[in-house]
Amino acid sequence: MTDDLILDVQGVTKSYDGLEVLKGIGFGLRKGETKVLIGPSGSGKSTLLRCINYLTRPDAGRIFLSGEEVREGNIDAMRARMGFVFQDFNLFSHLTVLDNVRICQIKVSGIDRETATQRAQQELARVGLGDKAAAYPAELSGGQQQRVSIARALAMDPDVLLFDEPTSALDPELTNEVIRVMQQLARDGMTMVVVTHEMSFARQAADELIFMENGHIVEQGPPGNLFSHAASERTRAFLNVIAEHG
Amino acid sequence: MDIYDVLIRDFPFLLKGLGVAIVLLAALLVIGFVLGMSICLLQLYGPKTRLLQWPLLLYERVFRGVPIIIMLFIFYYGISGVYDISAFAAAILAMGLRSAAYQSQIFRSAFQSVPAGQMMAARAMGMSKAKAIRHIIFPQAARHAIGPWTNEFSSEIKETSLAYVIGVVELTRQAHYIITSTQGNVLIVFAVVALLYFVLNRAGNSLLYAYERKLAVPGFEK
Amino acid sequence: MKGITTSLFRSVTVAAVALVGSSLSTTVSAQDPYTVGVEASFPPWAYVESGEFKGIAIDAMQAIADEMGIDIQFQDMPFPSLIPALSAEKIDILATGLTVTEERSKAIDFTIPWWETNDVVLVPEDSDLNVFTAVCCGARIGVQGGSSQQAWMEENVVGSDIDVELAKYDSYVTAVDDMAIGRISSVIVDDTSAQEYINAGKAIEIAGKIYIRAPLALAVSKGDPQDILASLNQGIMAIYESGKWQEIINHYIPGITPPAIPGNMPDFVDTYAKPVAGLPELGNE
Repeated sequence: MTDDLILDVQGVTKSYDGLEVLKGIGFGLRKGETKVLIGPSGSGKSTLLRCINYLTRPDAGRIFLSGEEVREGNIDAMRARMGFVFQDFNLFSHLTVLDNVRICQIKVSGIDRETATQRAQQELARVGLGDKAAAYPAELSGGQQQRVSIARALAMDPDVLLFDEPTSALDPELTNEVIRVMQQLARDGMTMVVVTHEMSFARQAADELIFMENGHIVEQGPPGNLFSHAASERTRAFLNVIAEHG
Repeated sequence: MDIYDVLIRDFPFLLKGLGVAIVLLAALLVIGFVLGMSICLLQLYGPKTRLLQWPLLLYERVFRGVPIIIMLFIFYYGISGVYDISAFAAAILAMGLRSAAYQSQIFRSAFQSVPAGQMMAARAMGMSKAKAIRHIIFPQAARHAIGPWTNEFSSEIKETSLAYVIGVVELTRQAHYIITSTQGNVLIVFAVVALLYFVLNRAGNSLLYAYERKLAVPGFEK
Repeated sequence: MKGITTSLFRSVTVAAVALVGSSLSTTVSAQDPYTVGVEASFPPWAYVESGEFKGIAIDAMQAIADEMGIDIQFQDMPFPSLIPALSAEKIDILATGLTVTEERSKAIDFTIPWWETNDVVLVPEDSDLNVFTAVCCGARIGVQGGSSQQAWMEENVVGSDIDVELAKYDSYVTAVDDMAIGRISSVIVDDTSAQEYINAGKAIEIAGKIYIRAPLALAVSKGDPQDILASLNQGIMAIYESGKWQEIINHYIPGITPPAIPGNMPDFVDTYAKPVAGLPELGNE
């Protein structure tokens, strides 16, 4: 384990009813790095992402966040340091945008209301929604809701942000506003793991692509290398299919 | 002295009976709320062991399945072998425990109507299960619960009159006193009593609807 | 809104704890007054007027308690609950127009009889039914549920091939009112109550009398756990002999001469075997 690893995933396995979804996955993430997990549906990307913060409990393997092991016993504290952005946003529907962004600062981190409000407004401005603080989630478009959920995660001042297909539930014309926010975060030096099919984002923002299939990491490397001359036939085939669609 | 004079003279006693009914109602609803909420939370978020879940299920089935008059007798005469319980306390217990069975079902379906993603998101942000339930799930479930809970409130108002079978002198019984001491006038006296129950019911419902409006979320489907 | 939910949570929990704490603790001490169970919708024996218990049984019971030097409090209950409550010792004394029957004497202990009733058949004033036609031939007859009249009718009339139907009511007042609007053809009730209804101006009349010489008495829990049966018997004799009894009766039913005390003591009642508690010279051999 290297000292400057923010996230260190070691030998994670997960089975559902005897079907092995993750077959011993490991990778590391340095501060400020963005890694993008790609691969066909059912390859285990989302399961891996959920294993990292124990939303799905891994069968075996270890996960370290800034050198500290993630365990059942410290999971709430560790999760507070790992932002998670869901495919379908999951904003708290009874709370205003402002409350969505500050409630966990107050109730989880114990930050006082005033500081939390300032931080929330700052993060909302960062995702371009400074004027929507008083709105309720149901009054926003999908793209806006996803940006609020990114602000909600950012407000916790996380060590790492985990994105689980953040644009898959959005209409194509709403995808870009979310992608732009994520690109900006990458430029700002945010440490991120992103599961996505958005190859433009992968190409521009990722420091490294991880190609997964059947619960294995097939290949990983800088996007330039992978896109131009991937070593494995499987990776090339997948990228071609994606490229045609994109 | 005609019946109207008697009604005016004895109106304070009707109000006293109404007071007894209201205290009984409030107490049974509170017990039903606290216990019903606990049952609901244990059923939804407690350990899934049969050792816990079967007794909860049995409790709910028994208390929903046995007529309240039987329960009143069981609690008043049955418990007195062990503990000298007053009729009023027995009525509160029997009716409160039964209301708990009904309320647990109201809360359970209200909690279940909150999308699973809400709990997941709260946990992913580092909230404990208890905090997530309190700050995220409960306020949303409350909106769904108020409608059926208002029905429970209304039906329990009517049930309070049954507490008389073990000697709790509430509104209906006070009315009975007027009827028997004046040898009749069933219609007029019970019309007044019906009006009092109606006012109580409307007052309670208005409060609950006001709370529902307060919980309403803009842009959210009604 | 968060504030509301939180405070709702809090206040509800606090209220529940307070309520359960206060209402469940009924402390019992030796100085507690004796609880006298009555069915307070049974004038002239026991009823409530302007929040006060009134009636022959109430006043007489109070006079007896004064004789005995004890404190009493009245507890109203529906008639069918009174005997179970006495058996469960939720009440100490039962003082209503309670008819002495063999069945009841197995569950509770009776004092000496203080009254004797006969039943009458009540019909609407304009009715042409007589005492026989009012209780046969398809008649619907009202009685109070759990009363001795119901028992008597079931034993002697309903079981036979006489074509009648019993309608059971919570109270006789409701039965009489139901008869007035034609739901039932007649009501069978004790003569004392019947006289009360007629005095109150109801449009009814007595079609005839059924001589059953039913004794009425007070009762205590079986086995007399409080050891008060003897004093109650002496108290009844005392108010009878002092004239207080006659005074109370006349207050509620002017112009009536109460039956002598002790009245007819059926030998199926074990507390009427000689010597009767507190009155050793009395009793069945």
